[in-house]
Amino acid sequence: MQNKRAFGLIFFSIVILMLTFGSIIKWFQEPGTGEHAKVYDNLFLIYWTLGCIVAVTVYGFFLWLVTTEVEVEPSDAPFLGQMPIERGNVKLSWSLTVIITVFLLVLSSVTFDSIKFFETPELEEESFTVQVTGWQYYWEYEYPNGINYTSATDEPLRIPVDTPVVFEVIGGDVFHSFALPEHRIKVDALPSRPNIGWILAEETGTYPIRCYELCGADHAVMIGELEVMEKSDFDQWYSGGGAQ
Amino acid sequence: MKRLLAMAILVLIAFAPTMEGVSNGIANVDSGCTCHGGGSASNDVTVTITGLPDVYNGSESYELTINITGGPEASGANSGGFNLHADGGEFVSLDNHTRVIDGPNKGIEMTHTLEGNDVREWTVQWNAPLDDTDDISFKVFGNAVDGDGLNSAGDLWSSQEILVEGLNSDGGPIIDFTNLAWWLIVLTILGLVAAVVVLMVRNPAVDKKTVMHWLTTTNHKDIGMLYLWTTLLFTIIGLALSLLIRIQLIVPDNDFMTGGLFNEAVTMHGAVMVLFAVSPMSFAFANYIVPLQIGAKDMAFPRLNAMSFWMILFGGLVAASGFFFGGAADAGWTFYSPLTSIEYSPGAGISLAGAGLVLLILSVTFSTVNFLVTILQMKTPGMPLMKMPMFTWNILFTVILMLAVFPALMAAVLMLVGDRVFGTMFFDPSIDGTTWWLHIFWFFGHPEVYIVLLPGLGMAMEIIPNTVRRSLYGRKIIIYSLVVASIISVLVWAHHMFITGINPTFRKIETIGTELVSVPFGLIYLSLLATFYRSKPDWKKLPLVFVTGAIGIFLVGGITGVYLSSVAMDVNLRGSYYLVAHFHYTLGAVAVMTLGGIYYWYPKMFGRMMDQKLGMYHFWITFIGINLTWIPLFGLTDMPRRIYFYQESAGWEVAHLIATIGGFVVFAGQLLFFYNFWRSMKHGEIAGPNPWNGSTLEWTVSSPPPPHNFDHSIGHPFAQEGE
Repeated sequence: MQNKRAFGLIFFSIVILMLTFGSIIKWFQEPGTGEHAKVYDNLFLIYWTLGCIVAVTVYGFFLWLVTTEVEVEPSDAPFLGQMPIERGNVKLSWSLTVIITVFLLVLSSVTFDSIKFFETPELEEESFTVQVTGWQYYWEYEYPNGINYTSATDEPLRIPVDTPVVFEVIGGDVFHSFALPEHRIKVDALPSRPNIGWILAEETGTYPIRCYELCGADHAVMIGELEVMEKSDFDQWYSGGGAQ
Repeated sequence: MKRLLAMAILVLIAFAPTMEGVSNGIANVDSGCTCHGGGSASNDVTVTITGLPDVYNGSESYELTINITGGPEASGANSGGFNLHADGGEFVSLDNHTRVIDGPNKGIEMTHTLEGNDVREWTVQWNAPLDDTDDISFKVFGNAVDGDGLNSAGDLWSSQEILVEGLNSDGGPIIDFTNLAWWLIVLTILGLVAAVVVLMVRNPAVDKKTVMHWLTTTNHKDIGMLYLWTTLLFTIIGLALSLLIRIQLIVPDNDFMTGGLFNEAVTMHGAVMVLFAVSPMSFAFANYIVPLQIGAKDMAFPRLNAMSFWMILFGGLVAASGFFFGGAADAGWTFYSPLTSIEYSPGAGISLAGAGLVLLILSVTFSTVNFLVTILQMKTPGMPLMKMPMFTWNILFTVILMLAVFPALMAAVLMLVGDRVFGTMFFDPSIDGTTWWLHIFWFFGHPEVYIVLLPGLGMAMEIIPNTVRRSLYGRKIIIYSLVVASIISVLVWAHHMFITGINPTFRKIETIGTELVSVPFGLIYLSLLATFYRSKPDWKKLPLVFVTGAIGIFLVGGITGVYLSSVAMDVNLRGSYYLVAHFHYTLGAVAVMTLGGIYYWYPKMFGRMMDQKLGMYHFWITFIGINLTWIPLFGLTDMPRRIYFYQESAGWEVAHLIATIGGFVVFAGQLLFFYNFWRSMKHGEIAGPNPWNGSTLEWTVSSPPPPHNFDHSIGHPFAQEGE
C-alpha cells in the first residue's frame, strides 16, 4: 500500500510539474512589438506547443510504463555477481533515431527562414545606420549626419516608425550586448569587431534598451531608452542636428 | 631533491598570479572611473576631498570640495570629471556642475554634469546621517581629461578613499553580514570542523585513523571519502552564495549587496558549483566505486591519485581566497575577455581564480590518466569491456571527454594569467581576443556540461535496474549513444556564441549539431524509461525515488534546451533568465541524481543505511524547492542575467519572490540531508554487504570494504588473479 502511495505521489507531481511549466511560460511571455517580435513570437509558439506535446507524451509514456508493474520478480532481474544481461531492440532504436532526427531537422529547417530574416536587413530608401557603442555603463549613439550622444544623458535613442534601421554595434571597452527586449532584438557588442542588427518598429513609444552581457559592477544600471517617433517628428529632430 | 624542486615550482605557479600586475600603477582600486572609457589609472593624477571633518556630527551638513591636480593640461573644455560615493548620509548638489546619481545608491553617489565637465574643482554638500554611530567611508574617483572630447588614451584617472568616524562611533559593526568573506570564513571553518569530526571521530568505516593517516593516505576509498567531504564543503559554499543572490533579488531596488559584491557572489557561485563541487563530486564516487566495480585492488597510480585530491582541494581554496584579498573574481564564471583583463579587473580575484583553475586542471588531468589506465588495464579477468558496469562506462566517457577538453581550458587560463601578470596580449581586443577567448573557453565549456552529466547518468543506470528488478534496457544502445554524444559534444561549442558575429553557415551547422545531441540523449533517456516496463519497482528505496525525480526534472531541462539551439530563438533568449532556468534544470537534475547516488552507496561507504523517512522528506522538499525556484524564472525571458537589481516597473518581483522562497526551501532540504548523513553514521540500520540487491562487484565485499578490497572476499566469481 505504501508502495502505491509513493508511486501515485510521483506521478501526481510529474503531471503538476508539466502543467505548471506549460502554462507559466506563456503567462509571462508578453507580446512583443515590431516585425522581429512577430517572427520570434510565432517561433516561440511553435516550440512551446511542440515542447508541451513531447513532454506530455514522454511523461504519459512513463506513467503507462510504471502501471505495467508486475507482482513476481521478472526473470531478468539482476543478481549478485551476474554478468549484465543484454536486452533491447536495435531496430526499434534505429527507427527512433531516424524519427527524432527527422523531427529535429524539420524543426530547425522551419527556423532557417526566420534566421535569414534576422540576418539580412530589408533596407528601404530612407534606411540608415546608427553606430552604437557600448561603454561601462552607457550606450553611445552616432547617426550618419554626425549627431552623437550617449544614454548617460538620459536621452533616448531615436528612430522613425515603419523604417528599417540598422544598428552597427561595437563594444567600446568590454564585451556588452545591445538588446531591445520588446522588439526581440539582441546584438553582441564585442570590443574587437562590429556586429549588425536591424529593426523595423511598427508602433511609436518608448522601450527599454538593456545590456545582456556582464560588463562590470554596474551592469544592472546600463539601461537606455529607445524612442520610436513619427516620421515627421524624427525628420525634424534629425535635420535640426539633434536639438530638442 | 627533485621532488622538492617540483613542489617549489608548483607553489610558484599557484602564487605567481597574486603578484601585483605590471600595467596598473594604482593599488587597491576596485573599479575605474565610470566614464571616459579610454583613460587609464595613473599616479600622476591626485584627487583630494577637502572639507571633511575627522569626526562627524549627526545630521550636520558639510561642504566638500573635490580637486584634481596633475595629469594632462586642462584645456578649459572637457577637462575632468569625478565620481564620489559614501556609505551613508546624503549628497546634495549645490550648482549645475554636479548631480546626484539615480538608482539604488540614490543620495550617496554623485558625479559631474555636462557643464561640470569643463572644470577640475567641484563643491558639493554632504548631510551626515542622523545616527552618528557608524563610520562612513568616502570613495572618490577623479578623471583628468586632455580636452579633445574623445575617449583617448591621454585621459588619466586616480582614486582616493577616506574614512570618517562618527561622533558616537563604536568602531563599526563587529559582524558584517553583507561581507562575503565573513560568510565564507564561517562556512569554511564549520565545514572543515564537520569534515574533521566526521572523518576522524564519527566515521564507523574508520578505526581510529589519525590526522597523519588522512594527510598521507593513498587508499582509493579514503581518497574517495576525502573527495566527498571536500565537494560537499564546496557545495555548501556554492549554495550559501546562491542564497545571497536570491536575497538580493527578492524585491526590486534591493540594496543588500553592491554591484561589485553581487558579481563576486554570482561568479564564485558558478565557478565553485560547476568546477569545484559538481564535477569533482563524480570523482568521489569514481574513486570509491570504480576500482570495486571492476574488481581492482586500488587505482593504477595511488600516489598520483592522492596528489590529484590535494591539488583540487587547494585549487578550490586558492580560487575562493580572493574574497580575503580585496575581492574574488567578478567577471562571471565564463570569464569573458576583456572584462578579465588587468585594466578592467585590477584586483587579485581573477588571477587567484586562474591559479585555482590551473591546480584543478592539473589535478583533473592526473585523474583522467589514472582512471583510463585503471579502467582499461585493471579489470578483473573475465570482465570484457562491453560487460563493464554502467557507472564505470560513464566514468570512462567522462574522463575521455575531460582529457580532450581540459587542456583547452589550461591553455586559455595560462594565456589569461599571462595577459594579467606578464602583459602578454593573447586576448587583446585589437587582435579579436574576445572571440578567441569565446572559442577556446566554450570548446572546454560545452563538453564540461556532459562531463558533469555523465556520472549522474551512470548512477541512474546502476540504480534503476537494481531497484526496479529488471536488467537495463538497451545496454549496448546506451553505450553506443554515449560514444556518439561524446563526439558531438566537442563539435557544438559555437552555439554559445550564436550572435557574436560568427559565420551564418557555421551557425546553421552548429544549430543542427546541437539538435542532434538530443538524439543519443533521447535514446538513453527512453532506454532508462523502458527499463520500467513490466518491472517491480520498490518505491520505498530512496535511490529510485531520487532518480525518478531527476528524470522528471531533466526532461524540462532538455526540452527548454531545444529552444535555445535555434539561432532565431537564441537571439532573444541569450543572456536572459530563461537560459539560467534552463541550465539550472539540467544541473538540478544532475544534483538530484547525485543525491540518489549518495543514498545508494552510503551503506557501502559507512556500513549503515540512511534514514528512509528523513530521506523521503528530503526528496520532496528538494523536488518542490527546485521547481519552485526555477519554473517562475523561465518566464523572465526579458530579464538579463547577472544584474544585481531591477526596477519595480519591470514587473519581475513576483517571479523572484517565489524563486527566493524556493531557494530557501531547497537549502532547508539539504540541511535535513546533512543531518541524516551525520545521524545515520552512528544510528543508521546496519546495512550488510548488499542492501539494494545490486549485481555489481562492489556489493560482494563487506560494507565498508576491507582496506584492499578483495583480500578477504570469499571467492566471488571474478576474484582477482595473482596477488
